[in-house]
Amino acid sequence: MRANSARLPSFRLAAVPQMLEGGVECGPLLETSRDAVLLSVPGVARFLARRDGPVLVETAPGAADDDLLCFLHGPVAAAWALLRGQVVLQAASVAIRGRAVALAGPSGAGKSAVAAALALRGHPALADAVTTVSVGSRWEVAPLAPEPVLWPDVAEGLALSERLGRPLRPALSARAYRLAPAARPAPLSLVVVLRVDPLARHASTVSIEGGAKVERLLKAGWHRGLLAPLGRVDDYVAAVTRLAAVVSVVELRRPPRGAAPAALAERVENLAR
Amino acid sequence: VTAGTVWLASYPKSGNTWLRAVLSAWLCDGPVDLARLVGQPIASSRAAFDSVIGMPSSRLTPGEIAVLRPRVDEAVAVAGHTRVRKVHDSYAAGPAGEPVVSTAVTHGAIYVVRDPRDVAVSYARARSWPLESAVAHLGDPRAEVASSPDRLHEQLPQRLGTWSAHVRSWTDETPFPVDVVRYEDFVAAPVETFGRALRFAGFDGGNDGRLRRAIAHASFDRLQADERARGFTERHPGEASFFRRGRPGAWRDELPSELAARIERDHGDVMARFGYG
Repeated sequence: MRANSARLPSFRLAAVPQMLEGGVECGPLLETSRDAVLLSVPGVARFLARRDGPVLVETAPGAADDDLLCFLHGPVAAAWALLRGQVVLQAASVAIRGRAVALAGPSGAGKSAVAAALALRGHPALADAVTTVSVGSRWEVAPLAPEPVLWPDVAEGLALSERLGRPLRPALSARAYRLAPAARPAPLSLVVVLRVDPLARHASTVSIEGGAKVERLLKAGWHRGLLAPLGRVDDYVAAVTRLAAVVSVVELRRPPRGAAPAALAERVENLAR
Repeated sequence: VTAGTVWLASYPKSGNTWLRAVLSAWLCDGPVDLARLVGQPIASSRAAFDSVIGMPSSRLTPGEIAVLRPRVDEAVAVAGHTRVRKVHDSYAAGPAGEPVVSTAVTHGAIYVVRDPRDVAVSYARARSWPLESAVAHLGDPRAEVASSPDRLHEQLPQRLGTWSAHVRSWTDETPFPVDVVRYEDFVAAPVETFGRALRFAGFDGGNDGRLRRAIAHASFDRLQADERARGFTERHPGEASFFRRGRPGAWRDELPSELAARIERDHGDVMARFGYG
């Protein structure tokens, strides 16, 4: 499979079919075949990402440009990168001394908050929701919609004025913040899996080793349900197994309250040393 | 065993977790592990939603999420199996006109109702709210959980409405069968009441010995001791203890009479229907 590290899919407004020929449903919004992924967001648009050519977008009446870009730079870009043979993580990423550090974890784990705190410490952001990794010898993370998306409570905690942020979507109060100069593509060296542990009293780190590393990297992957219909299970697992040999994986566990993003950022900085 | 989703439904702080604990103990015929109570993922689980949808729900509007939730229930249901899931939302139809849970995969619901005066006290303690705020919340038609727009909540937004409307939505408006149980009956007649709930859910509740052991394993004192020793991940951040008191009628020594009177005024009809005089 071809490895292609182009950063963002180009797109074209066009009619997009309601259904994908030969496609299988991957949840209520996605349909996938070997060569294409169709994302239908009612009230926003239908997006057709293909292995070759630009993404086709058919917008719904009333959808704002920001609505379109939010999906185009998120789930559509993730699908596009999977179609092009890359490893895709549900993670934010920053560049620390020229090397990419991915911050993985579920929604609410604090990925964007820690990425923002790292950006404020001078480490440029590479990605916010979707981290794409080229498969090959460099395992390069290319910049993709890198501005950390922060909810007002997190922005306030980081002393960021909301005027600095661009609204993500008109109906949401989350904003995207450009906090550092744009990063250049950087090889992935560290994956920090953020985890909120309701029973933890303090933040702590655990280094993940051996086979568990592959498992964690697979778990950090973007919507694994897409891999089978894309025919990518074998090559994806093989790629992640090779990736596990060259990156460190660390779990950063923290209590639900009382672990400031700045303190977690300092820990990540130390881990990246 | 009956196939389909059986919802363990209730207004918050009404005994849902206790029912889950008894059911958990019964299923394994052993002690309760608070970290592995049956009923997960809760209907409003953000993690379950995200993994089915294939993208972070943090990028979706509350309206988009509401429309998709029944579709997520359908994906989470396992064909041919009973799936027991907790839910706190009102059953009432959302903005898109569809009820909050998928009718297509639902076998039925066990709805736990509790004296709203006790609910108000428990709610106030759990959230560190003044009692007045909890009483107002029970009477607020727009009451929601995890819905403030200025932050990303661990769970998806849930509409509660008033306590009365919540009870009515689950006891009068569903197209599927609902076993309505009073929290107070769980306390007064546990074997009969839990046994009936088990049979309703499609589990064979016939063996009284097993049920008695489950009830003992899930006694309030044991759950409280377990929480003290090992913690409880479902506790609200800032909540001192989830299993606090649990005794029916505790409102009599914790709720000022004017607040009790307000609840009786707001919810008198539904209270009378369930014998909360």
